Amino acid sequence: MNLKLKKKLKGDKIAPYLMIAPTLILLAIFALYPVVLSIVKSFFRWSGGFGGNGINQFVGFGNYLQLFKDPVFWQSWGNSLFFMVTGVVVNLIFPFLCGFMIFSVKNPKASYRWRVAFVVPMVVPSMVIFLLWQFIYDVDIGVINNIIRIFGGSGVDLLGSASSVKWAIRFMGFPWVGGTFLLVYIAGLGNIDNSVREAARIDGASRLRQLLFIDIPLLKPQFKMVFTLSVIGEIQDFVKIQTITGGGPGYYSYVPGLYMYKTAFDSGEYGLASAMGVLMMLVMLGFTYLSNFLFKTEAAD
Amino acid sequence: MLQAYKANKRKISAGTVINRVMLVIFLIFTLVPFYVLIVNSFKTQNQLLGGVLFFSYPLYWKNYSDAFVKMLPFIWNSVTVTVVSTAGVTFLAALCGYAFGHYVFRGKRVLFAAILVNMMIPSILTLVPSYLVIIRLGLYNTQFALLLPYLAGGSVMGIYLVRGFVEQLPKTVFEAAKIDGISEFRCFISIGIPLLGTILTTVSILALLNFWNDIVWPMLVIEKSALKTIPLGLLEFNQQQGSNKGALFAGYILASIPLLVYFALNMRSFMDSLTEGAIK
Amino acid sequence: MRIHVKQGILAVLVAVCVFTMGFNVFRFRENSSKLRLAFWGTNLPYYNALQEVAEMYNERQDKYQVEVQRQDAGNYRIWMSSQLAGGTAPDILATTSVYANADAQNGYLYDFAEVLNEPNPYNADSEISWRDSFAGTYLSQLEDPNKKGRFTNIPTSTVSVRIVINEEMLESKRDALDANGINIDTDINEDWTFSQFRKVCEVFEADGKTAMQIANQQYINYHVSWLLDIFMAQVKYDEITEWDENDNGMIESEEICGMILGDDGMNFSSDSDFKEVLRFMKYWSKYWGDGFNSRSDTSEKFLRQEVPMMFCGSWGVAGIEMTLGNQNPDADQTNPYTMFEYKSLPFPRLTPQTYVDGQDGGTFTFSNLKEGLPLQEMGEPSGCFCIPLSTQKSGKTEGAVDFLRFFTSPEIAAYMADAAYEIPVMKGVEVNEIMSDFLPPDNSQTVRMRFGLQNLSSGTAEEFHFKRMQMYLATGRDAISLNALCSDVQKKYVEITSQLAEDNGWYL
Repeated sequence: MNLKLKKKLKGDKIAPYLMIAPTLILLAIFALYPVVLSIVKSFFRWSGGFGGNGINQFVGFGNYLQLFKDPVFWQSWGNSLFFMVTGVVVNLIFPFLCGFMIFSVKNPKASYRWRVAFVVPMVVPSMVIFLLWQFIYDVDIGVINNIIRIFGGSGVDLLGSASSVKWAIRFMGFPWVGGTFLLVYIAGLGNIDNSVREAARIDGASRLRQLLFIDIPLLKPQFKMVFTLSVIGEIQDFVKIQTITGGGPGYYSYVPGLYMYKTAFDSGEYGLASAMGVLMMLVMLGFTYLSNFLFKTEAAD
Repeated sequence: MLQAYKANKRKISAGTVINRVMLVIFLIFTLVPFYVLIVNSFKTQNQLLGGVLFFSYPLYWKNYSDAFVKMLPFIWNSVTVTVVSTAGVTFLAALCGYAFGHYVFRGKRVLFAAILVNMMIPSILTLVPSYLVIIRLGLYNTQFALLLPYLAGGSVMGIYLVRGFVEQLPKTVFEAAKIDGISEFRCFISIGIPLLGTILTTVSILALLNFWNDIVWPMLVIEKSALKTIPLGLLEFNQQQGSNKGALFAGYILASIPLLVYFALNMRSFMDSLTEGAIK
Repeated sequence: MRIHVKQGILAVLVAVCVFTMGFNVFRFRENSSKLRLAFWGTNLPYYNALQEVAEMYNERQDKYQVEVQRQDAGNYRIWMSSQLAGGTAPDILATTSVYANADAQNGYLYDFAEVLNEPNPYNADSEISWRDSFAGTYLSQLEDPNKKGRFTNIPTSTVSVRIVINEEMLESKRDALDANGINIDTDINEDWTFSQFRKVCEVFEADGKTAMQIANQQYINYHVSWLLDIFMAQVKYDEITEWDENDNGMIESEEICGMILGDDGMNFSSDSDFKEVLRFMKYWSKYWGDGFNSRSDTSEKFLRQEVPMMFCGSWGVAGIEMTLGNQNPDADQTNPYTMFEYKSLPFPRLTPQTYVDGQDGGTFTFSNLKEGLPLQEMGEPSGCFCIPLSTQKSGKTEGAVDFLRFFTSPEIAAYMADAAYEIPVMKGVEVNEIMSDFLPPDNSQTVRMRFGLQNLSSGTAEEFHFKRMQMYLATGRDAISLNALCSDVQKKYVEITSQLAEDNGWYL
């Protein structure tokens, strides 16, 4: 009996480590090590090989200096800023409006159906959505040009012209309501104590006033989350642009992620690409702090 | 009384009507691309050149059989990788989350922080080095190049969710079993897992959606056509089918079907999981 | 009980999937005893011909076995870099000079310099060295710009650009063309001028059509660079000849350094000829039609007979032939293409007074123009192959070199021209009728200077140049100005050449 208890205690000591070990090992190899590697190699001119294969030469801040002098890098950040700002505006307004309207549907069954209807697009592979929008914009047989031609206009090349390409990319997914943010808002609205609304209603506040003076202020944490997530998402999302325009025409839809991708995999300059990745991470951290500052909540969460 | 009721009803319906109309408009615009997709999947290239806005008859069903032959291997690859990764992530998250929630041990806080910190690291930073790690391990162009990083990256969120759940479970449930002398691991399997049912559904559905939709990572590590997942397959199909867009659209639809079916079958838990994942 | 059924199904599914993954590793493992040759592309005739060549080689000798593997075009570069970095690359890799230069910089590629001096055993004339069996400057163009005398890739074919014309559409406008001063039989030939070409275009444009498609797609398409080279070769002929100090028919990186950094060097930001050509291109580009800057496929409209002319590379011929050659005379329900007659012509030459349209500013004056040049823009070596250094570990370098010698023998070059529409780069090769149009007299290349920075460095500089051109030709308020483009080009040239000169110790 005594021995058994001892054994049990011993097992109790080792068991948690054993249970954590597989995940920790995987994370160390595929997540933590790459981070360290990325930061270290951003100070190297590195062709990506290991163990003496290829070039591996310490250059200090050389990669960073090169990036700061590179007009294309700046231009790509300019474009990215456009996507970030418009993305934040769009995500703060449209899913919220839609979420508010679904929340206002009092019949729980109907409300559920509306939610399902707007979640379905999330289940379709995003690649399908990208390629579909590319077709919608197609200058030759695309949907938009089909409509324009029906009304006697001539074709417009929305993705191919410098002045429209960024707007065209932003417009993809219109009206931007199908997705996670919608659920965030609905959940947030559901968390608001109904007695607050009730009190306002008895005071004779209209639905619109309730929205402006009760719901929106109380949804601050949700807005903060959407702000942060959309900024981070926009900085990282280069696959969409790679698929739709390849960064063109010119560099008008180039973004830092795409530049990093090409630097690494087209030119094989992995050190330089790592430096780009580090800079992107720093910008993202900056925006996270900014959002903490912008959406400061009085009470701690 | 009746008058008041009527007035009240009219008042409600005015607001409701505006509300519903707006929702319908939102929905219509959201679904326009899918309408375009369906309409054009039934067209020959000739019909497509004639216009893309409406159905043109006769419907050309052959697009679907053409696309099916092409898309099937990609769909199967996606299913394979997603199923294994999702099962793995769910298991690892349960195991790890249970360990953190159930036990008190040395270094717990540090280890938990070491895992959680991965949630803060943007994936774009690790993209290039992770890829080089895969090459160094000789996993390039194998499905394990997808599986292993998925297991690592995908379980972090799950661990967080499971730990929170386990901490709220009463410890007494497990005490009885332990007195009976069941090993720690058996205790986890036979008592822990059944209790974790709902949260594990959430973890698995969130993981499933992530893996099914992932584009960037497979694009980097899978090059062989026979191993490509759906997003890559769609890109390849897109390059090859420039002159027959109808079959391409049929392919898009076929690629979307498996998850849509799964969604339809498990709608409730899907919605709950997504909501839960969105808030956390 | 029901829950157990569900769990059972799930367990079986997971088991099947795990098994599939394991089996896939086994199924797709690389065969290590053979020489592996990898190339990219969706070009079916090329793939078939390449396999045929490998088979011929395997039958011809019994020392080595070559196996051809086709890679996906979209991801080829990523795949290739990964294989090189991981040291697991196939023994022979299709590449481009740009990729090869980048990879050579990274120390991944075998240097052919020595074996090039030995004769090619598969050449009937066993006296001359492998190096000398290449025609023109095809081989010397591939000399590593970063290190003199280093050759890290070998050309097997070349490309040229011409204009293809739908003869039936042309014929249908015979009267209208006559009225506009163009006689189909006497004016539209190898000697036509740009002014004549524009008058042909105007007849089609009168119907509201686009007369010629130019693809200016993404980063993989260099049509605009081709055009710039075509015009500059005529306008700057004397200077280009001067820059070519060793007179080998091409301007190498060392000569470019001289031309940019020398005392009386060329300054792109103020050069009036360069600016006039660019102004001309911008003016003319307004006729290029919708979407020349987008991703839509140009050959589509030509094949559908909506556009009578197309700027076409020799690489595009296989596609046209395949699409039209397999069709019924009448388009059926599913297929929008009908067969039609077409021919190819060189790009029209400039004249001192080059007409674009009748409006103010529609006539351009090129004062330094050199007339009477053979106007066939070609000479970019393509179909290049390299050998990774990692083959030395497995001892397969020798075999890989041997196969490339076989591949570049006149016999195989002729076969590739026939079967895959590839223009040979070897001396003394006969080609078929379609390709002979694309082949200039004596197969001598005429490109001396690639203004698109192709001669100079890795992909980034080239892409920079190309994207800048796109931005300049773009319409709308965001388009960059002529002056901005010229000073950008000058800046980039100075930046790259200074670096090159410093790295190589030229002019220091």
